[in-house]
Amino acid sequence: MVFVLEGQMIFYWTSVTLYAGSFCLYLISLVFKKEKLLSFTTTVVTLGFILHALAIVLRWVESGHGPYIGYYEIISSDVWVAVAAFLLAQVWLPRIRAAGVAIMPISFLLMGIGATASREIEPLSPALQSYWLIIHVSFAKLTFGSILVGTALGVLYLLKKKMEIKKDKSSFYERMPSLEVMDELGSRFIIIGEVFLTTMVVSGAIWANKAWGRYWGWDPIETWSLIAWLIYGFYLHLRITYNWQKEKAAWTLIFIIPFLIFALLGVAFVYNSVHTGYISK
Amino acid sequence: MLRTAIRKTLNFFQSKKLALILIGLFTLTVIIAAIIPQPVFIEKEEYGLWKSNHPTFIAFSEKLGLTHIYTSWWFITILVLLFVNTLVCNLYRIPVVAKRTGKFDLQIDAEAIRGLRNTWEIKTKVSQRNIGKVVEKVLGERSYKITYAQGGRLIYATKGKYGLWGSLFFHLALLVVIFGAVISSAFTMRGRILLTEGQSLAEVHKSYFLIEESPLFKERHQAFQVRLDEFYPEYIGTQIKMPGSKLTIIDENNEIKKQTIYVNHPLYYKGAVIYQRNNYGFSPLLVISNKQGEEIWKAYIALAIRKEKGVVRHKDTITLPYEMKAQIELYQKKSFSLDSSTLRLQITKAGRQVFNGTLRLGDKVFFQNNYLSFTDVRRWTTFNISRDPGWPIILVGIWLAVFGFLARSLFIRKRFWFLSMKEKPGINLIVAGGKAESFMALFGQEFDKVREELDRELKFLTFER
Repeated sequence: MVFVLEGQMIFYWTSVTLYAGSFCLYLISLVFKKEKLLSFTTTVVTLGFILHALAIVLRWVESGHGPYIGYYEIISSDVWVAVAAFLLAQVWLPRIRAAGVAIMPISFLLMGIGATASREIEPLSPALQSYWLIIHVSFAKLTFGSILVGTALGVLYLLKKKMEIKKDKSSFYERMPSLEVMDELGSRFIIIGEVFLTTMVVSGAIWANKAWGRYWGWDPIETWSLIAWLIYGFYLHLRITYNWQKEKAAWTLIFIIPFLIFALLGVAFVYNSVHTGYISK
Repeated sequence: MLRTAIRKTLNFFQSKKLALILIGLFTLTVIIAAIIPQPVFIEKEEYGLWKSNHPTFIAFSEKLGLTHIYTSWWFITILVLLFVNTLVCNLYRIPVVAKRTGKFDLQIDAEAIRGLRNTWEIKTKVSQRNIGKVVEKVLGERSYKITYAQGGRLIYATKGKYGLWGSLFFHLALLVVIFGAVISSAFTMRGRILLTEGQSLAEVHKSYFLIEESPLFKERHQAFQVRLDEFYPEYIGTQIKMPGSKLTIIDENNEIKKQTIYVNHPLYYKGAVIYQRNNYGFSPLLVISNKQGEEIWKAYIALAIRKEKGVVRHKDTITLPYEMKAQIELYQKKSFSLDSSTLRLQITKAGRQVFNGTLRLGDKVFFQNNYLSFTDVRRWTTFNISRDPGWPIILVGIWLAVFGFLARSLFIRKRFWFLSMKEKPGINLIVAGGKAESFMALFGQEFDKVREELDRELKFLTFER
């Protein structure tokens, strides 16, 4: 058990260090336009991701349940899914890897916050022993991952745009996907994220009706999830109806992501909610 | 005059700008309601604390009606406008989408193809028939459906046609959800009953100690009986334990259903759902009998649970026959076994104490020319019972909405046209073009890949450019 606990923390902190290091490497490669360094950074992120996975597996073994309870488990697994989404997106389009400059700082900072939370093992309450928990929580993590990658593509869009305005014709930025492709790719991740968010809210409502006899009670977490859903819905309407694309869309994504992070991770800090007991332990 | 008014109203409601404004207003309102405490949704004590900590802010919010946002007329107005706007917008879109999924694509000419964003032309010696085979091979692998038109001169490839309906489907499904919510708020009943083991109650208004009925529910209770056969304080869970209850449903004197219910596992019967609540207490049985041993009075008394200085106490005040009042408190040994129960009793008559003492389970005392005995103790627990005819509608709407959203996100209509024309004897000119409903730049990449593949395939068959 001591090995499990120690190994878990060693893997956790090593992955935090690797994520933080990768952020520095992304910065250096963007500032000095080092293409090869970018490839190396992807390897660093992948290594951090593997160690992070091991930390989650060991925690799972130790607690006997999935990463559902307490900030430590929730933040760690949310970040892991986001990094997985980022790495998968690179398989599809390797030229977007510089988007890590926006994903990695959020990842290692959140993991730092997660590490300050209690790591005590919390047993799974019978109320949580439902397949709806897996559906509800998995979709929350997928939402975070997809929307974070979509937003990071918005950041990359703005960086490339800035270079174009500066008339910087270096091959480093040229090799990135075109601005239009990045803009559309980012919005696809947001649409997928909104589908996941819808499923998360819906599965939560169905589960609440089964467990408590009410599907919607304006509980703070329910309300903030609805707010996040409405905000991203508003963004999509702006994009589709009013051609709110390119720079405007990228800035909007950067502006609205705090709402999602607050809805998924921050509400339990501020409010007394039915979810508080499970999240903020 | 009336027609003009109707047209103007419909034009107003089909505006997408109005949709954006209403979504924005709705979002803003919900954010305000999430920041300013809404007394309906929080505990009285919590709201009181808010009031004492921020007296000016709460007084100001109360004055503006911001502490009851969800029941305010303006919030409901925003919702109604959003409903009408979504309905009208989408009804107007049905013929547009239907037209776009029609066969008009097959009448396209070379000029129209050349006007598309992605175009390409190629001269080849390959026959029209073989061009068709090559296109079928390259685009067929990408799940495009191929159609020939204009006497075989036009090859039309399309996929994701039904994705066009996704957005419409999603919005109409949202209306179903809202409709369900309206039904729910008009016809719902939610109540709470208390049962002691062995006791049964009818599903009628007076059985509930707490009940909320929507305006159109109109006492449509089912009148079946719910009997608590047995209560298990630690039914489920290993480290954290939660209770469960074995219930029997009796309808028209027949035992219809037996089920043990616990968290996440309610009982469904005749549209009503019975949920186990996470609380329980004790019901001691008190019997008053005369000197001849005849029972005069007998009752299980569900003692209330009170927290005093952090200690949970099971105590109550009840009325006994002969205008007597009794203060009862139940104590148990640490084992919490029912057999260890002891009752502390203080009985008064017209303000004068007539009994003050302790009874252990099975004890019998003589007082006021009668016998008082404590013969049994059982557990009581509470259940939520709800009837919500809107929920199935909401559920259907929700899944349709998710399905529509998925269709909208995953299936994007993409189209390719290949028009063959005789350039000169033995040489065909192919004018090709492609278009996607959205994500045009991403489609541009696909178009380039298709072009490369087709080029390669056609070259393989040899030809002159």
